[in-house]
Amino acid sequence: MKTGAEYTESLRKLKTQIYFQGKKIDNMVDNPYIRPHINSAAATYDMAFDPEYMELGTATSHLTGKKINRFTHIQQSNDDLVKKVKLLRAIGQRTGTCFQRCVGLDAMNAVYSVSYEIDEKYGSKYHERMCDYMKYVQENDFMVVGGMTDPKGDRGLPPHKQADPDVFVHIVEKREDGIVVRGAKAHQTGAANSHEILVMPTVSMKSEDRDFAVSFAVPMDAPGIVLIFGRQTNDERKLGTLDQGNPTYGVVGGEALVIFNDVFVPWERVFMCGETEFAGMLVERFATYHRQNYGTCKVGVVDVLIGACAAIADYNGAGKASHIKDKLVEMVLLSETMHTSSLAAGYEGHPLPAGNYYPHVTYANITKQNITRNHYEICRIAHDITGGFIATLPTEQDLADPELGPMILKYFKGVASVPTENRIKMGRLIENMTGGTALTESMHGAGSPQAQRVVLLRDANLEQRKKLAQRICGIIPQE
Amino acid sequence: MKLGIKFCGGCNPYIDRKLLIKRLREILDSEQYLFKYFNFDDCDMVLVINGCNVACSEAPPAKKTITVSGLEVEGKACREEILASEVARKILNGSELKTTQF
Ligand SMILES: Cc1cc2nc3c(=O)[nH]c(=O)nc-3n(C[C@H](O)[C@H](O)[C@H](O)COP(=O)(O)OP(=O)(O)OC[C@H]3O[C@@H](n4cnc5c(N)ncnc54)[C@H](O)[C@@H]3O)c2cc1C
Repeated sequence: MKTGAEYTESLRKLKTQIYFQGKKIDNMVDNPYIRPHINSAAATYDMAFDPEYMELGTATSHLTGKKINRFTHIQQSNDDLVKKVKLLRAIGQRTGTCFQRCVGLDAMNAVYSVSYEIDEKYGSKYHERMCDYMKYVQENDFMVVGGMTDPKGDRGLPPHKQADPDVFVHIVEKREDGIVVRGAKAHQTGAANSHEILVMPTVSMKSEDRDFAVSFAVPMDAPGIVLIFGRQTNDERKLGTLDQGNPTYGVVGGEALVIFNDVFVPWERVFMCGETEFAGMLVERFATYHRQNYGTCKVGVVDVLIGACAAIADYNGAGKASHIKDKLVEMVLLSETMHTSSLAAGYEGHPLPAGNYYPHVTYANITKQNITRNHYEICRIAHDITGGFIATLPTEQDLADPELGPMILKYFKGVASVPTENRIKMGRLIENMTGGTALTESMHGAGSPQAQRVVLLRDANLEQRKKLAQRICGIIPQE
Repeated sequence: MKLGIKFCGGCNPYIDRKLLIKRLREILDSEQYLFKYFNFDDCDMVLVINGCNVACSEAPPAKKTITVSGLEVEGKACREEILASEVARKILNGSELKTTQF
């Protein structure tokens, strides 16, 4: 296993092609726009060594019997699914933001399971390759990007009907030693600071989409891969400190557009190649694993936000007001509701044919659906409690100015016992945790709300539920 | 005397577990008590620190143990301010310790 420092150092060896603001980034580790996201991901490494968290942070590999970081583990029981949930909350509490590494974890579990089922049907060797890949990831304690979302072009058209086929990742050449792929994956969390990317299809497919039904893994610095790092709300503030709110760990995961310009993938790293009927299964597997997580990483983050709101209420002199207490209770209610379904999805998990465990599909989807609403409501309450100053505060440069600083400290003062600077710091933390990029992630990450509702309707078993009512009111006989 | 410290995973602790250890170190003589965080085989006793009363972490077998579960010591309610002194009292008065079975 790697420590956080070893992980960070390992990134220096990568030759990943990353662009931001029109320039190539040669040293991502010391780049102020990327560094906070590296620090956040590093927490996933450090917590595996910290006696306070290692019971959750580590697992035993079913492939090698060795102790591994839980972010490289194939879920072996419902207990593992629950431990994953608990670990994500613990890290969220520590970083107050996305730590990126769960996407790859879920991708690995999804591909592990589906590759087995493809082999069952076709006698292929995908699962064996995936097991070898897992050993490689575990041995090196790699951070892996979960690459599902294609740019998708016209959302109303399947991949093979797109005006530009490159809006879905696809195979452009099959060679004796491997395949060549082209296209892109959008919104890729942690892509700049990961070692590998595991690519999966993003939609269900028909046989005409054969070339688009592809799953594979490559190093992030494989020839032909180009990253364009996404900008975030307020990202110029990363050049300073106080105005960032969370200067060490940043906001959200540091997403990037990952472009595959004719990238070669050796056969050992290909896990699906044209088996279109398994594309939808892979999408759903990944989505279910990942939707379960949102009721826990975000809950850890909200734990920080609730604490920030309780503190700012005290700093404002309103902490004892009954409506403030009631609003804090509402935040707890909304947050723990999300967590309960996340835990339930783990406790009610079941094994898949490959032997790895899978969360309860309905509960995982309910978890994510609730996040798309509750997180927004939680942030609305946070803005209410905090007050308008988070929208109008002067900059940290003004605060540092010898003439302006004292005036800012005087007029942004809350209760006498709390230094104004603390009130400003807390306000900035709340501002950055509750706006722009942070909220959109809760809406669309792991799929837009409608994607969950489609699954909820499919699994609602309305016919059985109709019978329950018909029996009770005497339309069909009681048995 | 080797004192093993075994933490639960810490998903949502109700108590400050690091602070508990810090206070315990202040109370217990550092010459006499060596704190160990891994491999409890040679420990004379093990302090199991759970962040809450779900108490996910189990005591290692065949060891004298004290279990803290959030604001409880061995199942009895205890305020956080006196948690460390209560644990220290039990450690010093070894007869109150439980022995876990295989
Ligand atoms: C911060 C962040 C991090 C992310 N991290 C990752 C990651 O690490 N890996 C990854 O693979 N993905 C990641 N995603 C991508 C995420 O899964 C997608 O944003 C999500 O699936 C929605 O896709 P989209 O953004 O293209 O939106 P769109 O698909 O364009 O959705 C916009 C709206 O159109 C609707 N819509 C779309 N298609 C149709 C259709 N055919 N019929 C009817 N309605 C339709 C949707 O329901 C939605 O309401 C991340 C997203 C965000 C915001």
